[in-house]
Amino acid sequence: MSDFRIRELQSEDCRELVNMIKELAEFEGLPEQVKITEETLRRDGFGDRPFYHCLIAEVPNKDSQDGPWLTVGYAMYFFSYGTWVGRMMYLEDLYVKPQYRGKGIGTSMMTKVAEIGVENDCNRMQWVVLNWNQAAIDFYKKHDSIDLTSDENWHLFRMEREELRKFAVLHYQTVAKG
Amino acid sequence: MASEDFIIRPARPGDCKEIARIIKELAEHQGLGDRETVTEEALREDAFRDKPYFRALVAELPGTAADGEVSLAGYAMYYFCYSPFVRRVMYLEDFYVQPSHRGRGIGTSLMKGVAKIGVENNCNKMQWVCLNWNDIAVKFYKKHGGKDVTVDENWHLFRMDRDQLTAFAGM
Repeated sequence: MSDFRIRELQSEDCRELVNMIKELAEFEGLPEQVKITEETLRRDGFGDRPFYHCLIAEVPNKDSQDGPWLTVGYAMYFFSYGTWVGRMMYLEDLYVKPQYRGKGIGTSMMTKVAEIGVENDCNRMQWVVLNWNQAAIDFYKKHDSIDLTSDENWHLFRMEREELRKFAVLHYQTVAKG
Repeated sequence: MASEDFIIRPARPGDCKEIARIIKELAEHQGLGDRETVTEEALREDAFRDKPYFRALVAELPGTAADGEVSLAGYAMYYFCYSPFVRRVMYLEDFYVQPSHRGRGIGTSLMKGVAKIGVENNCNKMQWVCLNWNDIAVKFYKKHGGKDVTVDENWHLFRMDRDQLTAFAGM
């Protein structure tokens, strides 16, 4: 009998999810970048047009006060696309609380995301990792993934909202509707 | 400014044949012509459905439509994604302008078009990848406020292809 379970995020999990997101940001040395709230996660993850999907990992709760299960990790992903291969899976975040590591919870969540990808005819899964996170890198390489930055010179670029807004000031020659 | 000599607009189902052809041309141009690229049918099925896997803008050359087929100078493929830090994110997957149509601002207009859609949809950032030896592209992106977060923040992009994915999923 396994001592944890993986399931899909429900609306009421969003508060715990925000807490874990902030913990991961602290670990990555980027806590100032977290702007998300429980409300936006709920609005963007559920309904007609979800922007993301998420798995939650739970362990049995020894303290009966807060219910039978304790949330200890999450994996956020979404579907993406490549012009050469078609449907892809993107693993945005994978996190397990430090005191619950070493039980295979992270591996289980990531394999579950991979399974969902294969079931949906995705031909690739991609994600990013900080190059000093050696434990993560070793794990990924053990499972035959490629570091495209080192191997193929791909660099990730970003424009924050202000730069995006300035850049979007348009000089369309013509815009046809529809 | 020159008179209107291209139109940036959302892709339509009828564009998929041209887009598939341009993608194939890009692969050949990069010496990878024997590699399979996305078919016209797959593009149509994946973009024009209730929950599209991607969206695209195209650069149409006016006056080139003959027998109902327009000529495209290029395209930009994008999709909405998410960051648990900042919420909605725009991802620019690909943008390409055919070599014979470069130097006219088409690529810039395509990228700006995607940026505008991002802002209109409350995206808080846009991300994309670029080969680090592509000096012209890197310079252009930096001029417009793009940051190389591989260099600045140590992010590396990883990938598993379908075989590794299937093996990893234990399927």
